[in-house]
Amino acid sequence: MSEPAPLVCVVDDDAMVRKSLLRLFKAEGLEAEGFESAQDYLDRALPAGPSCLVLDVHMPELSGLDLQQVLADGGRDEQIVFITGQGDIPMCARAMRAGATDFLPKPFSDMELLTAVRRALERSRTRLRNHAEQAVARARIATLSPREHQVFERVITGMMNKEIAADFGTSIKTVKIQRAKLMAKMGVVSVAELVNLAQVAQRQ
Amino acid sequence: MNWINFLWPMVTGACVTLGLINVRIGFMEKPRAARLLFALCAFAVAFLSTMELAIMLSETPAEFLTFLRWGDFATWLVLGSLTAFVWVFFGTGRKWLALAGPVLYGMASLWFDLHPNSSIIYREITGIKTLTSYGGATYQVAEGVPNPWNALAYLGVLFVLAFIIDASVRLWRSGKPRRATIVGGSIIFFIIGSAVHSGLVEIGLVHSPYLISLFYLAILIAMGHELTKEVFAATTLGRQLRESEERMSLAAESAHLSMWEWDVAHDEVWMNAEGREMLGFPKDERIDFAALAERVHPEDRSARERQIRQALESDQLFETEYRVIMADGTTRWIVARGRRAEGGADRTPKLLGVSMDITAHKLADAEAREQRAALGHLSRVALVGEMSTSLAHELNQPLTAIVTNASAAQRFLTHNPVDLDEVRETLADISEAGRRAGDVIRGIKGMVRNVKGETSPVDVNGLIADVLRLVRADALAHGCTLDTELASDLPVVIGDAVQLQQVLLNLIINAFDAMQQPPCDPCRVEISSRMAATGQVEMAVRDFGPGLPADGPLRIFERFFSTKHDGMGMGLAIARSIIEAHSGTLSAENAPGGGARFFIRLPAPTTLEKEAMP
Repeated sequence: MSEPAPLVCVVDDDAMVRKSLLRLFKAEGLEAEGFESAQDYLDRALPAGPSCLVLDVHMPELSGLDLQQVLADGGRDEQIVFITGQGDIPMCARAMRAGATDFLPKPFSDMELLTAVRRALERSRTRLRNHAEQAVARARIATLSPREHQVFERVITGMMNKEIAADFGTSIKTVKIQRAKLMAKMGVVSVAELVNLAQVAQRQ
Repeated sequence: MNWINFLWPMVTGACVTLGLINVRIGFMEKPRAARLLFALCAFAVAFLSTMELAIMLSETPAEFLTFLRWGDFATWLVLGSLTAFVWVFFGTGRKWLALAGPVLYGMASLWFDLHPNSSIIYREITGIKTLTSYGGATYQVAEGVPNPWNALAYLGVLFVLAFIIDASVRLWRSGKPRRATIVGGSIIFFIIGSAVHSGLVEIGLVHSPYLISLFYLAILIAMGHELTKEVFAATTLGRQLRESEERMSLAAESAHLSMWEWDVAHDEVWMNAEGREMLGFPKDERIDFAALAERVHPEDRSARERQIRQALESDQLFETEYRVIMADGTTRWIVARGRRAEGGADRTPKLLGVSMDITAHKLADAEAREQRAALGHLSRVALVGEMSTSLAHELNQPLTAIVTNASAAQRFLTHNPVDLDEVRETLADISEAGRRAGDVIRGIKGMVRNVKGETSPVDVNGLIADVLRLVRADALAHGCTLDTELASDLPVVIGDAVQLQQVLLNLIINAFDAMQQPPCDPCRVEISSRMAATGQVEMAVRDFGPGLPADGPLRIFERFFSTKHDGMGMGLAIARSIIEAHSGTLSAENAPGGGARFFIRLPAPTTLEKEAMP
């Protein structure tokens, strides 16, 4: 499965700065898109592939920090590289606490920016991958019958077959059959794999 | 004692005196023609009274006749000059009536007086006899045949009378009843009196000599009264003028005021002692325009001469300030105010005025300006300090663009093939960003530069644009938007661009601050320019904050009054003094719909100032 190309979204109200950033990303072979305001970015659909946001802090109407808040409230987890012409430490701290990848005071070197953007894209990619794995694990768990699910929950907590049988008031043999079935449905051969899959599914 | 012998010479003397006085005045004062005609009339009466005396004292019929004839001629002269006087002095009357009397009398008397042995009164004089009048005075009368044509002479007198009555009525109606009564009335009264008396003497009812000249003396006195009234008035006026002049020169002296008068046609300047002293002219040296101009500082000459030329062409009061260079090389400032006047008897144009030495005032002014500039400079530096983070942002933007573009260009150059168009475009953007950074730095430098009130024509909209560039980042930091509404076709104003920028900057930063506590809605500052109804160029800054303080909205302009917790309370006080030094006004009001609005109003340049612009 080929992954969609990574996308850098640049949000800065200063056309001169925006243009120069887009140009740098283009020269670096990165796909990039510019937005004049936070609202313009919100109006765009969420990129399908890995993406990151290069976001100016000071903008009229919705500021960069405001946009970060709006995205978090909407349950979105874009990786954000803040850029600012007059940043101070409290502002930086606030941004980083809220999950920003980086906070770069203007003017910054190309390497600083590109490193930050690459890190952000990598995080985005990882996050996408995790999302995909989780989706698979959850889908598999969803195929279990209610009784199989009960057995599954007990197996991953480390209960022995006879303990489970005693719990349900059934025979050990019945538990063994159900356990084999759910292992097959989950596509694993060992308890260790099963535990791992459960963890992936439960990850936030 | 014979009273006749001194009464008649007295009449003669009185008449000659009156005549001479009026000849003298008549050559200087108006109404000239009336005065000279009056004098002629007086001399004619003097002549008449002399002839009357001669008649009364004559010893032979031949002598009697000769004097009688000359007496007729004198009477004719009196009637003629009297009529002419009334004609001129009243300025009204019927012309034919005026001519009829003297012509009729003159022709009748001439005709008979040129006949041998006859006159208009007597056809023939056969002898003379001595009569005794009141008080035992004796005089000669003629015996002979009365001339029936004498009625013609009486008719002539009647015409004169009719003319004067008519003219007096007209004068009365035209609104000068006083002159009509005194002059017209007395002439009429005494002519009738003399005619009646003469008639009574001729028919023998009254025993007295002819008193014609006495009656006419009364007329002369009435006429003279009216004429000399003006001389009295002139004398009073003269005295008042002298007093007023004394007061003026006292005032001029104590105020060190130079008074001058330039006779343009003769190019001669009169100047009081103060003026001569002020400009260093010796007491008796003749001053002309060139001598004055020579004293004026070369840089101020053309402006001064232009003002003077304009003053001569119009009736406008002119005012000009210029420097003069004294003999010892020092420079003094003079202000001159004056106006054109149509002066003197020959009505040549004159320029009248006063001048004052304002050097001390100018020095104080310059000192105040320097202090204001220093204070302004300090507060500008403080302003720039206040904005330093915003300004850093404003500089960081173009710097970021430059660094980023340069990095991009380096990468493009490693591509194969190299996209030269892309590189060229990148380089163009780099220089554009560099220019922008330069503008910001120039703006800051302009603000902290310590200039001493250099004035120049300032484009108001350009000024607003410059200030907006400085405050854009600050607006963002305060979360404010900036809206402008600028009128096109505004005239330039004369002023110190840096100081005006400072005032505008101050107002805008105040507007930002006003909207921080409590948070505003909308967060907007509106900056506008327009031509005010007062004819001034107006810049306005409006915010949407809490408005002016309720306890005395105008206290904001006081020194050390501040609504900010960290404010010094100097900003608006300095701003106001700057605008007032530009002859403008800085005012504030609560805007309808909330917030405060500040107005800077500056005078639009006059046509003169526009001309002087480079």
